[in-house]
Amino acid sequence: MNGPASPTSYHWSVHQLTEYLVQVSEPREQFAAIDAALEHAIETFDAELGVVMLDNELRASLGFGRQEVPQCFLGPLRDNEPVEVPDIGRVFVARGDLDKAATRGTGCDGYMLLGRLGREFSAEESQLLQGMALTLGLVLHNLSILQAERTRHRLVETLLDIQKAISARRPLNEVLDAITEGAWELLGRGPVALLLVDPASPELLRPHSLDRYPGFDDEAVALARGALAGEGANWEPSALRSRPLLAAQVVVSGEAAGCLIARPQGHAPGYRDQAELLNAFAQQVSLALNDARSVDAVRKASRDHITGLPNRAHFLQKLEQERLTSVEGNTDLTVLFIDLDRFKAVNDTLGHQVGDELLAEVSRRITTCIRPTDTAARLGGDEFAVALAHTDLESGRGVAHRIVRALANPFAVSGREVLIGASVGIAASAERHSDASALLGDADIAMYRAKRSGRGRCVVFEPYMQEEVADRLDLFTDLQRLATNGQLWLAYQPILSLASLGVEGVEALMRWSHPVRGLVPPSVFIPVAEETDLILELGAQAIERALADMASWHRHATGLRLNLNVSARQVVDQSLPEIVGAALAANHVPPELLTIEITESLLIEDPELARARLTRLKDIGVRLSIDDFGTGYSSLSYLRQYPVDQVKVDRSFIAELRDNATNDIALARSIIELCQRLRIETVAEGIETDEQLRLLKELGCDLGQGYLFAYPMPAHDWLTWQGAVSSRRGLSPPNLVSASS
Amino acid sequence: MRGSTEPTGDRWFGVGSSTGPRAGQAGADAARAAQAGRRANLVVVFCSTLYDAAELLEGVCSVTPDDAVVVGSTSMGELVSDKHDWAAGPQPSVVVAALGGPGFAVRSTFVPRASADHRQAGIEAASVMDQVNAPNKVMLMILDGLLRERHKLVRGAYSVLGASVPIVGGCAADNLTYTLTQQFYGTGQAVDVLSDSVVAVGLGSSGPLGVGLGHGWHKHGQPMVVTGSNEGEVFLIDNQPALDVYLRCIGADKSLAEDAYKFREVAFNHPLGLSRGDGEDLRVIHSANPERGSVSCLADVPQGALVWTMRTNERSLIEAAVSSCQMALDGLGGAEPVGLLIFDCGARVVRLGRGNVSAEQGAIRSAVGAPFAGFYTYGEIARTRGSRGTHHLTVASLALA
Repeated sequence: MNGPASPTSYHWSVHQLTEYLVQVSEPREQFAAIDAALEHAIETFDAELGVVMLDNELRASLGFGRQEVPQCFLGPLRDNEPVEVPDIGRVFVARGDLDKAATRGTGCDGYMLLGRLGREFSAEESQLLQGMALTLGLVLHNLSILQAERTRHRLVETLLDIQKAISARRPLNEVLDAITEGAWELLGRGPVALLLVDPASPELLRPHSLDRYPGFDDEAVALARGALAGEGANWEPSALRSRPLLAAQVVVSGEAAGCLIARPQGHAPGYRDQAELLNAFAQQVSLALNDARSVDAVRKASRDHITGLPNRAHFLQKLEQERLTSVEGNTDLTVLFIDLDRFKAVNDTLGHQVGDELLAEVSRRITTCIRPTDTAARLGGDEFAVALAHTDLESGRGVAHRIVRALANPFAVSGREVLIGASVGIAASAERHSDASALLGDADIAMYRAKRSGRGRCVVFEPYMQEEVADRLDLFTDLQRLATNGQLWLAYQPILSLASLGVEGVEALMRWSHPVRGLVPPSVFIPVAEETDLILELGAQAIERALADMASWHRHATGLRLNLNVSARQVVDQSLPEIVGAALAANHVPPELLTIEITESLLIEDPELARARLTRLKDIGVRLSIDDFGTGYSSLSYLRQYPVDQVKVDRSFIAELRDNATNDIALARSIIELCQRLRIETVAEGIETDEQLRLLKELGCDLGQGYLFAYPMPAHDWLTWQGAVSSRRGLSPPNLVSASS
Repeated sequence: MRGSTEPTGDRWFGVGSSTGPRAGQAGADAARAAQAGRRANLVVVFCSTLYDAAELLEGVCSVTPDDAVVVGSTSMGELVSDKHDWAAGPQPSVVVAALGGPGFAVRSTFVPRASADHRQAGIEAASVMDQVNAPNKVMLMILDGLLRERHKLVRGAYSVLGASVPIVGGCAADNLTYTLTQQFYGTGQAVDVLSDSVVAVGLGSSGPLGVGLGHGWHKHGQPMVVTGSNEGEVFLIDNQPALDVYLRCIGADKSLAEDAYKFREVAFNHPLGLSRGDGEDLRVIHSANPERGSVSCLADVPQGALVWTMRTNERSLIEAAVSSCQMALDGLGGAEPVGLLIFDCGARVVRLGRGNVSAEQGAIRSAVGAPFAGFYTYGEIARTRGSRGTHHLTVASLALA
């Protein structure tokens, strides 16, 4: 196609260069400046073709369409030398050189070459093109300086940020991602990835951060392997046909631990700089990994891995330091010993994972209750401790109450609400403490006292508590032995129908005849046994013994019912239904004749768990009774939520029943009437007088037991007592008593 | 992308027009006349904004083969060879050019949301040429006339096509309301009405093609330097408020800038000319901002550019149109033309006056001796020599043999 004849009048002036300079100076990157320069120069001269060569590399071309720039256009050409370009035609060329003294050797050596169809370039045009090319050279030079400066500045900033992250002990993954991100930014946003040796399988390379490496492939892995094998910490052009990859080794404790790889952007002359940058980032990875491993080692040695708190050994070290400081400075030091209430039940029923989550959350709550300068620790299990420096007992008590309140709030763990609590023992450092262990021991003793006096309490250590503890320890030791030496035995107290005064059943009660202490009351030894799994063993023995006794009595009195007390710990223990079921089966006792008595405290502390456990017991056919009803905090309406068959009205209500005690009568009536409405059987405990018996009968109470009828008696007396009752039927109950406790 | 067969022989070009009151009927009438019973490969529709474009295009489709490419745009008046008394506006009017025959190969595409990245839109539009395989090729572009940085769009297309493919076309207009211009893209089955888009046709021909340009404007007064600008808005000329300098140059009072309509009427007669190697690159000034002391052009005015105010007269403008067409015909190398597409600047209508429009078209008719169709645009595109392709106040023409 032939075009029109071109006008030849030009208005070359400095303004032509000004317009060009404005366009070329705008971009912040070299490639954009080159493109802008070439585009503008071509338009200025009404040329069709143009190229920019830098360091013998073609950096930009325009006007050739989809075809490659033909070699004839790239060779050494003189101004206005005609060149025949395929598909375009015969063009005249003009060349402007970029390389003058200012730019030589800076990577900005090169030239701009234009081609124009049909018209030669005038001397004026050649001169202007020369000016434009020189301008481009200077702009590129300035950009390279600026770029280098910007890169250096950004590198310093980025490395500083990474250093801060490492020293702030940010999570390792976060630090490694930040390093990869930094390398990606500094290397022109080309693909960057971090690969780490798998510690479990050192021959495997695991990609760590791949977000910035779209299209990650085997070639990248191969290069990384090469870098690890020491084939070159930097770029490896032989493996790369099209575009090179850079790799920089990561070293931990002197061993290759992975590598950072990158596909560089831009042109070969810049690869060396990019390789150095990549190395700088790889060193950061090495530093972060080394640091993380050493920190991890220290942490493992001194920290509890679930909560991240110091462990017992570390805590005792810290506490000893604080103790010595407080002794030297005559300052206060207080220690809190925290024991979680009902943690074991959570752990047993919801699993260890939930238990661990709960412990971690507990540690967070404890930490929020103390100052940053205080030290919290997990001593093990469900025990925590806090060292409060410069804190007297009164202030320590305040902190302890804060912690108890914080831990009394429900926990949300694994999508469910869990209620626990804590008991806290408090001890202040004193002269008698020879070391930190002694101080912590006092707090431990106080905690036991707190636990015994009711959960959720804070108790300050008093010296007498130490004796108590020693006494309890002795008791515990004896208890452990009694399972085998026959000191433990069962007493039976009859339960009668208040309407007919006929014997309906019998309650089995544990007794301990201590060779030295004499008869130890259950209220003393049961809590001691409950502190450990000993209660489970003793409980299981009692179940088997009582059912064996029942079996023997059933030969004489079929239909006799047995009430058996089990402790909260037994109920929580998952094996209870199996133990009960097995004992029933072994003794051929129908399950409906066995009534399991539990305390209402169990229902209050963990209603959900109680419901689940009681349902399992109901499933085997036994009856359930709430013992000592009315002494706890449960409301009457609570009852309907549980599969309860019987309620035993606590003796404290019965003791006050008199004709003129209207309030007490009303109270007893409300319990009995409610149970009637709920079709729950009522048993009055501790009936001692005829007046009480009469009133209870009037109120409609179903059953009763107490000294008025009989004291608890050994098994071997039961048949005798029952025989006597049968033969004296019709006599008043007191005459039936066979007091042989 | 849609297309027809490879060129092997005969080629035909026809035009049709209508000023009928009903859009659908007018479209059908003009398209029927243009095709004259022949099977068209390409149908180009230019119509006034007074028509419902969708309805008009339904009419066009009703008489057009399903596989024919249909493109076009709204205009601020049309040019056509089949009426001797054709005057652009103000009545509704439509002009249709159709071409066909195995000697023409047609491909088409469109790029939506062109304003998001002008250069990229040009690159994408240019891909239409990838499948055109013919000895002679041209890329026909129809752009939204409200796109400011159309030079970047053509640069993008040039960066892909290079010097071997000429580009020609025009920017859709909306009769100087500058609110919405529409581009048409589709086939004889259905045509979409678009805006903010580039519609591109890759046209291959077994016969030669020629592209022409002419404007008929002359420099007036002293050269000046743009010392402050951003894209098309010029803030400073010779370091003084551009509006003051401009009004002084054209001998107008400052109060002129307070009436936008009057200012535009006057400014159309006094465009800016940017100094270029091949003469002047014209810029229509379409508004002033007295508060900022600036004037705004439809295309970029680079800071540092050397500029003049330009003048012309009716005779010169008409001669430029003829000269543009003659240049396009010269490009045919002596081959007999089958028809021309003409893209004439809408601002020239203002300068010529509606009455002189039929005189201009009469002059073209006398000079070319072949059917032609075109429209008055918001900007012309013609790249044959050099790399620049955007023009203003110019007549761009494409001659087909």
